[in-house]
Amino acid sequence: MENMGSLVNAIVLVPLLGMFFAAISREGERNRGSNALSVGIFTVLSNLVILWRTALQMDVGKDGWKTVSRFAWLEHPKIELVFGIDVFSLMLIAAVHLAVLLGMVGVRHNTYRQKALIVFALMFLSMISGYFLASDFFSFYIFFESLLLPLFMMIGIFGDVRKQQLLYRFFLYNLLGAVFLFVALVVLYNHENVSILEVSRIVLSGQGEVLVWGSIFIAFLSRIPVWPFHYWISSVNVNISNPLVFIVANIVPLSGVYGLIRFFPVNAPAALDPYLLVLEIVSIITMLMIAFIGFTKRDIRYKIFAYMTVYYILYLLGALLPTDALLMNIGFSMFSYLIIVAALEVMVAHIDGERQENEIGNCGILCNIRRTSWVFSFLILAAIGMPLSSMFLNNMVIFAGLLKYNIQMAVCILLAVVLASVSLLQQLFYLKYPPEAAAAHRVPVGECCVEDISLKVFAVMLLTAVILVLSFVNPLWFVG
Amino acid sequence: MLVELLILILGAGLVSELVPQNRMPVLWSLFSATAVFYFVYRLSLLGVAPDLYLNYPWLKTPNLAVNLELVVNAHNIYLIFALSILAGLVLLQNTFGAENAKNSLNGLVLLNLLSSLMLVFAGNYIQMLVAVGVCDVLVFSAVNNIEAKKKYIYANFLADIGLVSIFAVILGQGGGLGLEKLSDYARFGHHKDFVAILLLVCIFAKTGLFMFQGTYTEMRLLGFNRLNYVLYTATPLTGYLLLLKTESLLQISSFSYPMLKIFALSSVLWGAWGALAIDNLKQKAVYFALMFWGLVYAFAAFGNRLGSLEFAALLTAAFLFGQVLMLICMAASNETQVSETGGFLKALKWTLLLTLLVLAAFFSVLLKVRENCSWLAWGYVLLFMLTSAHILSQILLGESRADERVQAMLKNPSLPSWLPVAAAAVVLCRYFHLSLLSTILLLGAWIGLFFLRPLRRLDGLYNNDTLQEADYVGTAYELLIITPVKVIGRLLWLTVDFVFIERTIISSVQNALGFMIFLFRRIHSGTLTGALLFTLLGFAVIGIIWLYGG
Repeated sequence: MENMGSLVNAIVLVPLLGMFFAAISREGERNRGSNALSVGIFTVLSNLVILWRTALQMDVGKDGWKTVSRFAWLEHPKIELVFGIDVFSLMLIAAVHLAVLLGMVGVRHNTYRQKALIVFALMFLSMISGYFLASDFFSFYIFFESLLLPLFMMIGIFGDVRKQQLLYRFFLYNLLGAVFLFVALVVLYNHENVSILEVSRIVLSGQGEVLVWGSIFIAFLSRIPVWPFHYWISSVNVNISNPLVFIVANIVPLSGVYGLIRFFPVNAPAALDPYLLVLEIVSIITMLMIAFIGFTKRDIRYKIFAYMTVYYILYLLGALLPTDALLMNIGFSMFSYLIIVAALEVMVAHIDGERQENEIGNCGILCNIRRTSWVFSFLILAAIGMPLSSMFLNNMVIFAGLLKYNIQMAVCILLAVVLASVSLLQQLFYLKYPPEAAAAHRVPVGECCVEDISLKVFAVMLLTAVILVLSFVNPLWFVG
Repeated sequence: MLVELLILILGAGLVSELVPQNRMPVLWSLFSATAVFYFVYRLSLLGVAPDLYLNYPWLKTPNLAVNLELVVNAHNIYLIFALSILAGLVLLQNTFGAENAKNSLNGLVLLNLLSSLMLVFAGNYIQMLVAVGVCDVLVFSAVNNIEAKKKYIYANFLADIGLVSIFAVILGQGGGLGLEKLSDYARFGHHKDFVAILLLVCIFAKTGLFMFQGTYTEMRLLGFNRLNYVLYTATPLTGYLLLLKTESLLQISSFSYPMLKIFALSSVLWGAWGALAIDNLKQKAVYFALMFWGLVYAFAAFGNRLGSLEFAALLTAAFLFGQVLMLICMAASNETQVSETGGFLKALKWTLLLTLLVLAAFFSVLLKVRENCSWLAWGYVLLFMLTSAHILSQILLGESRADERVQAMLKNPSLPSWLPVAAAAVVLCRYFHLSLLSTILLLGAWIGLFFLRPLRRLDGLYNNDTLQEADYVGTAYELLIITPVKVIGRLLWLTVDFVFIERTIISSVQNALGFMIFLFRRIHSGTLTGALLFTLLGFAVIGIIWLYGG
């Protein structure tokens, strides 16, 4: 167990160490930060190895949180950093690492302040790993809040968000969420400092219970693009053209979903049930609305955003069911989902870059670039839930839970999932072959100078495809 | 032994996929065909009533403990043979035909064979769904025309989601994963009508029955061999296998069988109409496939469930007729418009002989398997005779409208293409032989129709461009589903995102903040107005406290 504790600590510390080395690395010629990028990639790969070693030490067949490491920070008040792990957390950390790794591959030719980008990405990786490993209130809050720093820096510097007001609102909104969580956790901490999973032990008065849990509720919701807050998040996300920043920005809702999963529904008091119902209804309306809007939009980033939102809410609703039996299935599905979206974003960034460089339209652009076309098709098929990743079977289990609980609600969710998936398919065919009306803007076959992805990137994407297929065959393939 | 053979098919499939497209395609095609026929040979050593049951643990995750089942017994052995032989025939035709990307097609055919076998073996619905999904992905890769790809994946993705939902409902109600547990759901489950109807719709969409045929009619731009492979050995077949596997679910709703009957018979009739009216030979092949699948479903609907041997033979016979159309198309330098052919008989005598052989095989099998559905079998024979004789008569006997190049290049298909089809037809005739008199009468009737051409008035339909280009079902989907979704999406964006959030909430907050900032600036400006405002505000606060402060 001690060994396990060191491994878990290393998962948080290695990216911080990598960040330090990236920060002091010398920038390459002509401001190319390839040294920092190499450090970043090496760090992520190292951490993936540590994750794998951790997985080998766990009894992955059994779900269950294990607190494995503790650091005393202050005596009065008694504040500790407590880390623990379960298969769900492990899957999410691995997925986030792979997603960030793909993002780094996507920005390898991006020369604009690459060093800063890598430094903040590694910082984000450390913070989000800490957040997924946090086992008590204080650690949980610290990492929940500290996630925002690299996020704000990355979006602020690299986000290409033209409307500054949007950015302010987005930041303000996230900060407000963090304040709500702080207040709630201080009240809970004042009663008893327990681990997150034992929070239901704390007994509060009727009014206080609703206020505290309501605050926690709002804090996590502030990270999820649920109506009406989806507007700011979508406005910020669809303007980000840097793949790594887009990936990081789209991992942020995961922190909200994760928070709700960890606190609800087993721990939530009964007084909160009516509010949970309201949340479910609002979530479903959001899903449907965003799926419908995504269907009509031409912008692929909005379609990806719509797809991500629909799936995040699907996982959220799956987790909010009055059972925690689906937790591992949600983790397995999310593993593939995060990787797929990250890889898709890298491909979209490549296509977008080529489109801008050659001053051409998107229609039919994939006709000329076989490797990109193949990878893109694979990712879209996997994203819509064909049997190419762990999403296929595990989503079915999640649907089973939802259908059992409330068939009308589940049918609405399915409709949203179908619409979001069809939107992606629509985009695939738009990129592969334009409709008649768009024929004038079509890229002429054989007369185009659009560059395909390099062999190295293609190899990375092939490896990603292999990982996805392996996760379909056995979600815990890495432990045999 | 079975596992090794399946691994052989998998290995051969993967190798064919990985080999560069134009690297020794004939050799790789032969290699693939050899692998399949070796599989058939080794399987035949088990005899006609084997009893093999292998069970491997596959997934052991929470809520999903799934075993991979491999079952070969008297109930499925003929189907396994048929699927393998059809795959072998596709591979052989691929060896000698003019197909693009042969190596890739070989690989896909082999992998598809494997996924179909997994579906046949499936004893739990996870394996079944996975096999169906994998088949969809493989066919999606095999379809090398973007419009056809698009229609195919939309229809099949929706069908897959539907299937996943159905089995999620069953799983959620504690039905277990085994197919044998479906009968428990039939007894205790909820939402039975929903499950049964959705299941049928998904199956129809996969098979491309009436209302869903648009998925396949768009495939007219595919190579003929590729088209036949898709129509008879891939997705439509998975639809029918799904029906066989989940038949117990149909009994839970009183709507199932009437619905099945309506769709099956409509498919037969629509297929016959399409085969007669549409000019494109490949589309005609699609409509013949529609007729065939309609017939098979009609047998199921009217209580004549085909056994493994009967279905295998009928499927093979229908496939062979598709191959005959392909060989005619090849002989005519790939001319696909029937209106651009005619008078080919002199040059294609051997092809006519092959057609007669295949027809004899088809009629023999059909009339042997009819059991208590004689009216259906005889009705189908009559309809099939009318349509097939009409088309072949146009091509072989009709007034020649072919261009000079096609006329000059006309020749019977090569022996390696002709022989496997003929051999398969002879084998079917031998095992399902009718009396000599019946065969002669049937073929005589067909030849009579062939020469008389009673439906010759329908030739004019080929000149009707509106009919030839019409896609009624596609247009209906566009109008009834796609357009409303787009309108709703646009409206939601406009009303909720733009008008409500951007223009109302954000603007109101912004304006309110702006007004307050303006107000406080004025208060602190040191002017007389500011002082007055400040005083008024003070009085307002005092007033409020006085009124509500108690």
